[in-house]
Amino acid sequence: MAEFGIALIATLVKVGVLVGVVLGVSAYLTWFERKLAGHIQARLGPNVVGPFGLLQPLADAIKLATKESIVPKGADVPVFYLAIAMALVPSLLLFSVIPFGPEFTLFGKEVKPLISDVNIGILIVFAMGSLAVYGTIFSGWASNSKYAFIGSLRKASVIIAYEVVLGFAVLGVILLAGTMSTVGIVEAQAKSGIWYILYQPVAFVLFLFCMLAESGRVPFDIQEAEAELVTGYNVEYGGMKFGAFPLAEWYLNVIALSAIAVILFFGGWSGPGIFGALSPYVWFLVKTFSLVFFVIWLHWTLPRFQAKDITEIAWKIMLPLALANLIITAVAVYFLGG
Amino acid sequence: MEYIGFLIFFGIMVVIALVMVSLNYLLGPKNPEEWKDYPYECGVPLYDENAQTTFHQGYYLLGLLLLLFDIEAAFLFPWTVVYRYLGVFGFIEMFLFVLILTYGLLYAWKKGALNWQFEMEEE
Amino acid sequence: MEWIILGVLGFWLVASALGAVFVRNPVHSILFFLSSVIAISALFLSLGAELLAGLQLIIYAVAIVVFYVLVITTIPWEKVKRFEGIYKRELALSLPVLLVSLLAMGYMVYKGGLAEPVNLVKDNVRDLGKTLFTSYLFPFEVASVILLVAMIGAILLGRKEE
Repeated sequence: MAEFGIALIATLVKVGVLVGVVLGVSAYLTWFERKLAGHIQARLGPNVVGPFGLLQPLADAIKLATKESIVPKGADVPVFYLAIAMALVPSLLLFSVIPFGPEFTLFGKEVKPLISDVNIGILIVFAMGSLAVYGTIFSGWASNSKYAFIGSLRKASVIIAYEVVLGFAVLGVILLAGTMSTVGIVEAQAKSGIWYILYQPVAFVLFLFCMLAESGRVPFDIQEAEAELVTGYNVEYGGMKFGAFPLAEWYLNVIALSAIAVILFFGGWSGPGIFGALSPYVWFLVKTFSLVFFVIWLHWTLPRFQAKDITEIAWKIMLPLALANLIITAVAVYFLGG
Repeated sequence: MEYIGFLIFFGIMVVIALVMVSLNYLLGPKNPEEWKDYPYECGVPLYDENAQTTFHQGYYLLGLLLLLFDIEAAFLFPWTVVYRYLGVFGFIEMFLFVLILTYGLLYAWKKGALNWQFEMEEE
Repeated sequence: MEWIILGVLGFWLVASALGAVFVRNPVHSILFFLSSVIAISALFLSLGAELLAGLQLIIYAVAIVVFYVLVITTIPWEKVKRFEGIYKRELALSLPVLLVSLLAMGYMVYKGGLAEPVNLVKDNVRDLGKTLFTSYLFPFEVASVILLVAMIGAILLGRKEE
């Protein structure tokens, strides 16, 4: 029982730290994104609230929290509220299988810096990514607005198409590592000393595109197109209820999927130990946030694809490519022994 | 034991979501007006009171495609894990499985089920 | 400890299954069904069958329920709103079936006792995969053919009438 109690407390501490850090980081990512977008477009970005506009996320949060709570006429109220939870929960649950570093010893106990080290880690990533589709569909349906409903169905069709591609793209990596555990995949790369991006460049590109599509980032976001159309599925939400959707989609999803891309293709926490005991964490965070930076950079640089192209690219180009990649990987592993 | 973490995480996230939902109700002003809860309709009167109507049936087809490819992926996930232990059998087996389903993909493609807005091709 | 978890999950499962049956609105019914599917996957997890839990999530909670949700776009809502009362005839038909299945379950529990875990394995995924792809090779290949037939049927159904 004492064993169980210690494990419970350790898990609670880990969850608390993770949730706090992730929510804080994603709040500041809004500031970073706006600053970066400003500089890309030759503006200054937020610079009034606090030094360098650093208090801007706080101001935004207060503003969102003090808006009036409005539920549209004829809306399905329980589903309307539930959709927010359904959008937020899967994208946060993605973080539970992300290992931030190797195992270490604290007070004579082995501590793993992740919430649950499971044998089905990648399966959970795949499932959670797909479960996020419910937040979209039900928010659009419950709002009783045609714009929201059409937008949500369109976005659902994109998420569905790219989710299938994502599933097939990661199969090649699992084939090389021989395990679905995220820790196992990182350890396999650390042991062989070669990152899987060298073996699986096609899979990485496919994963990156799926990541962009699922988190509603340019160039795959014509269904939302927050500046030109009316964002579609969350048009009837206001205040913090509205804030939850971009938080889940643009920030939590992007951070989590970037971290998973780093685990799958860039060797996770592995790297030269030049920062002493902290170097695995430093490497992991550096890699993850370079990828997040890359995604934001793309978002403010590229134009969008046509609506027609987005789903057709997924089904007609990416899915066959992913299948071919899987077969070629299987043949190579069979004849070369991996 | 590892899954206790999941459970706790799930519970805490539901609490966070509840807080985000109720924050506006607790902190925001409350002065309802007649047109405030009006669904977005570009400033003209609502054409249709109820937006939860029937819709293009193509999405039904999309759901079926998702179902099929998800099950295929679900079969292939355990296969990739044990691939090295299976030898030549696993190799041939997977080829058959993927080939049969690739045929399905080609069929769907030819019939136009993969097109945007699901326009079936004329025959 | 195990009994508490089992009790909570079982209560969750039964409550959401009942909700799925008795709720009038189809969308609420789908939501209850989703909840019961997630409860089943949590039950699998509590029994240590992690691969099954993952597949349950992917196939049921994602693929099948998304399919149901997309079907709501073809529901004639006017009929749904007009419908009052319960299906009396269907209820009467289902009672004997319910009784027989309860008796069968009671007999199984009485004869066999509750199942004990045989030999717990460390890596559930690997062992299950090995069994699936060696002993049950033929059913696995048949599954792919069934999937193909289902896809062709679906596409034929979805075509416009000429």
